[in-house]
Amino acid sequence: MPSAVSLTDAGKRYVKYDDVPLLITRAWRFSTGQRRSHLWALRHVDMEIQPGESVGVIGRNGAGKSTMLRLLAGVTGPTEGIVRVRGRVAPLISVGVGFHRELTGRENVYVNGVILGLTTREIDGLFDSIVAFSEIEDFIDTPSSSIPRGCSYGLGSRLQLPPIRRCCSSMRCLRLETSLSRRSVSTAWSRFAAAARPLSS
Amino acid sequence: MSARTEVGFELKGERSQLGPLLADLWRSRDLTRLLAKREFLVNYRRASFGVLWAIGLPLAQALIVGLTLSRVVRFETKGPYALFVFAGTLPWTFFNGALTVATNSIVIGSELATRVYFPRAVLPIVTVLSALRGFIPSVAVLIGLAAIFRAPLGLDLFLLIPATVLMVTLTAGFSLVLAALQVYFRDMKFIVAASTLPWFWASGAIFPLDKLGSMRHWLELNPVVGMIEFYRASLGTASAGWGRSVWICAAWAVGLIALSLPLYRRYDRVFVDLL
Repeated sequence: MPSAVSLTDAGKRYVKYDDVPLLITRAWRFSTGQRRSHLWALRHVDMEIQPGESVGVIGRNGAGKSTMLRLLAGVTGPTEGIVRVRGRVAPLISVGVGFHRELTGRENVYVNGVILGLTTREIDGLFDSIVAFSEIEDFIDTPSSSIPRGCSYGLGSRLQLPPIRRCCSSMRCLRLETSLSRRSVSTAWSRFAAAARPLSS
Repeated sequence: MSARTEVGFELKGERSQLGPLLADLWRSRDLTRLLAKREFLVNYRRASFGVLWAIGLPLAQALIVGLTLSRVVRFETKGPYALFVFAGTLPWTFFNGALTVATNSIVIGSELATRVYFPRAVLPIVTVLSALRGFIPSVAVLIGLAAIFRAPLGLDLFLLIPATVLMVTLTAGFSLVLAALQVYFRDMKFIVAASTLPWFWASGAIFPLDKLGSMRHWLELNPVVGMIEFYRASLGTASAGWGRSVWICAAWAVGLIALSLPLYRRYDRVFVDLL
């Protein structure tokens, strides 16, 4: 079976932000033939992940974990090498990232569902269960700014399940973001377990 | 769902392939539509006059400029001067408003763009579409005003459709190119802000360019001239030779879109590294 995710000699190079971006300094740098210094966040990485495998990436600050996840999400392109992903990548982005305070719960559910990779028709079908989960049925058409922040998070976290479930049911790729890093590992793990539970049934 | 299970991607280097990029763009139309709706709602929801501002802004501008200017000089325009000015400020306000916001759209959209992949061209396009939502109802006001001023309305009214298509394409072309440049040179938004006033005066929005004699031929190279003249033509009040400026405008629109293709092909996947 072909692997779900593969990196072949992948590398990502960033330009160091080491000087003032003023036109005059740029011109000076150009005229003296000076190149900006580079930094390889990742280089010569080979990796294969088979469908159904769970893989964790551990490393120090600056080891390149986030860069690798960004490559796998297709958010950024590799400077060298090849990144191959079969299937969809479900990002577990921090709850409420795409939520806008001026929009109603209903509007936020649709916008964010589509951001997470669902189609409007899929959201139509899921809408009632998402609202029921959040327990704010009566306020679903109220702008999020007029209800407690936590309440609309219910919508956000419930919204994350369908893309994850779909990815896992067809043995696709789930990317648990590094946004979890601020929490303790145990919290992160329990959140992952909660996310994965409906999948096994 | 089954149709989507075989999606995936392969990235070799930072450049994108044009085919997959355009396919991704097409697949993002749901996202584009909803983001445009979001931008529109957020923009107008809490304003007491709501979407009326989309009409109010060019109307107020036309009123102020028209009233003051007509006291200083008497312009020979085909059709009443008030209509001439409003037909100019209406598309201009769309162009200016959309461009100003769209230039910064990729930078502003970084929160989403750094977490989820979607073609970055979606962001400036969303701004233009959201502005279009506000623009459409104000076209009705333009037609109403034309009727009040007894403009020679006729079948020419159908020209409003290609005129709007041209306006949107031109605005989208400028927006795509400037938004991409803004990621690398954060000076773009200031350059745009500084250019709008001279651009407005050189657009023939408030006075007929014939006034300027032979300079007219140079000013006609400004795509906004054709964009505005097309609207006047649909009300039957365009100046002679409007067709030429419309073609120049169309050439700009096509040229800018064509320029944006290699730009996004090269930078689509790496904009995010600078956000």
